[in-house]
Amino acid sequence: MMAVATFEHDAELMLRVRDGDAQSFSLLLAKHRGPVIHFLYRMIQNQAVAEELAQEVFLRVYRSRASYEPTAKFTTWLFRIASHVALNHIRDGKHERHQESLDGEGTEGIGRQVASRAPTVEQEMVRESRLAEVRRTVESLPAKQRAAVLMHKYQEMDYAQIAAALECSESAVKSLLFRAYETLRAKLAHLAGRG
Amino acid sequence: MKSTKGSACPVERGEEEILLRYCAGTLAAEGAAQLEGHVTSCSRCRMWVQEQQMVWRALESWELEPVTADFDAALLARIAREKEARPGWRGWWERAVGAWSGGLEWRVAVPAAALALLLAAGLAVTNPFRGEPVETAVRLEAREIEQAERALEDLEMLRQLEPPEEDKKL
Amino acid sequence: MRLLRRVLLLWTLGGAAWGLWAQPGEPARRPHPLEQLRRMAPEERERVLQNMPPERRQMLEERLERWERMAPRRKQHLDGRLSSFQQMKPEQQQALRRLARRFQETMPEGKRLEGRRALTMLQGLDPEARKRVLGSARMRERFSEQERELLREMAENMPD
Repeated sequence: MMAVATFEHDAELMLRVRDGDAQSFSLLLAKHRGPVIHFLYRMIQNQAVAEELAQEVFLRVYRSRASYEPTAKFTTWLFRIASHVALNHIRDGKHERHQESLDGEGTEGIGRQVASRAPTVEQEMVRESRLAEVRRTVESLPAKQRAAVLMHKYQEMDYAQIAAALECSESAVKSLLFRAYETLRAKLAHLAGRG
Repeated sequence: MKSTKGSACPVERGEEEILLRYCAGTLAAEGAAQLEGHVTSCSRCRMWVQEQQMVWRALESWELEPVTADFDAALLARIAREKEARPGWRGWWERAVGAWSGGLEWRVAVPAAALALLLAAGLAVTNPFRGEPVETAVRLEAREIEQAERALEDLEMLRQLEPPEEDKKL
Repeated sequence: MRLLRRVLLLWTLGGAAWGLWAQPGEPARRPHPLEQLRRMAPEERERVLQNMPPERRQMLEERLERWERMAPRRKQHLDGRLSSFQQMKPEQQQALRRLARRFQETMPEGKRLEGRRALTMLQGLDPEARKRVLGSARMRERFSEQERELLREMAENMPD
């Protein structure tokens, strides 16, 4: 979880950006670039497109600096913009064309992870197939459920923050997460039995 | 409704959400200890937790590629370009659109702006200085320099992907 | 306060629209900025680049100089490639930039020249022939599976 000090620090940096301090923007970028790109990548499953969308997110942050008010956590505000950008991209049907292959062939990200740990060929195959399954299953979730799960699991955001990011109620978030995890349990729990 | 009055079992009570918080480690220590006691003795909850933990681990195994090295440079260049282009209409428009993502009181602001635009248009029509040159050349050049930089970077990339000159017999 | 700021912002937008209205129209078609820079006299270029941050300026000037030193036919050839690249969709351009970076980062230095030659050859093949060549004993001897996969992806994404 984000500590209060971090919240204040991010908001403070953003207020400095509002006052024209470019260095503060670089600090915010250095801290949040990774999480935002990774969130977008897991939403869209294409690294190049995720990075393009992340550029859009940070451009919007920068353009909004004059109207920025620290009424919410900076990360919540940031992920609201990121979710908006990702959901719009998915809604416009742009992502299907760009998805990287999930079938083992051309799964460069997976290949790279495998290479760095130097496993045996068998382990490599198991790992590849598991990762492909995780990606496919996450991809099969409806976009809003997917966004909720990704923010909950990887950004460790609480229900209130996810609700603010997705512009819905906390009970709607609970319902989104419940349904999403139900699907994930049904489809992924069997991986327990596979090494 | 699965709810069973008096039962301590979250699954029976239809309150799996508490199990989710237990798995995520976001339950307060006391609540977590209490639930842990129940989970060890209840096969349904144990199964639920095991499956959820499996999902958790599966999601954790999804590591990602590092961000490309020139991400910040590309973004800062785009921002610099926008700043240099300001206060051109596009900069203003994008800023307005950017602000929209966090916007609230636009229902009031937009009609006010429409009025302002109407007024501005009226003034423009009757403006005796209309057609007076506006100093845009320097800003435009700055924006163009960004495009030239990008094109040179791409040219360099394409050059580096081809065999050297002596190979090409050009 | 925020509402007031937004009204002011949009009011100014009106002002900007007025400015635009009063502005003389741009010429219909201008050469690409890179072409404009190339054609500039040194003192003109100096004036245009004077406000750039030094590191960016140095990089830009070095690249311009490298291009200027090339043989005319090589220049023409690369300009043609650049023009095809610029006609690709932004996401395709970005994908190729990423693959090119991977090539530089992961292909061992001793194999890069051979990789560049293989890439040129693969570009000229249709997907079926490309697959056959990449699976050939000769290619398997020279490049690892990951390297061959990278070459395949790059060949597919290169501009015409």
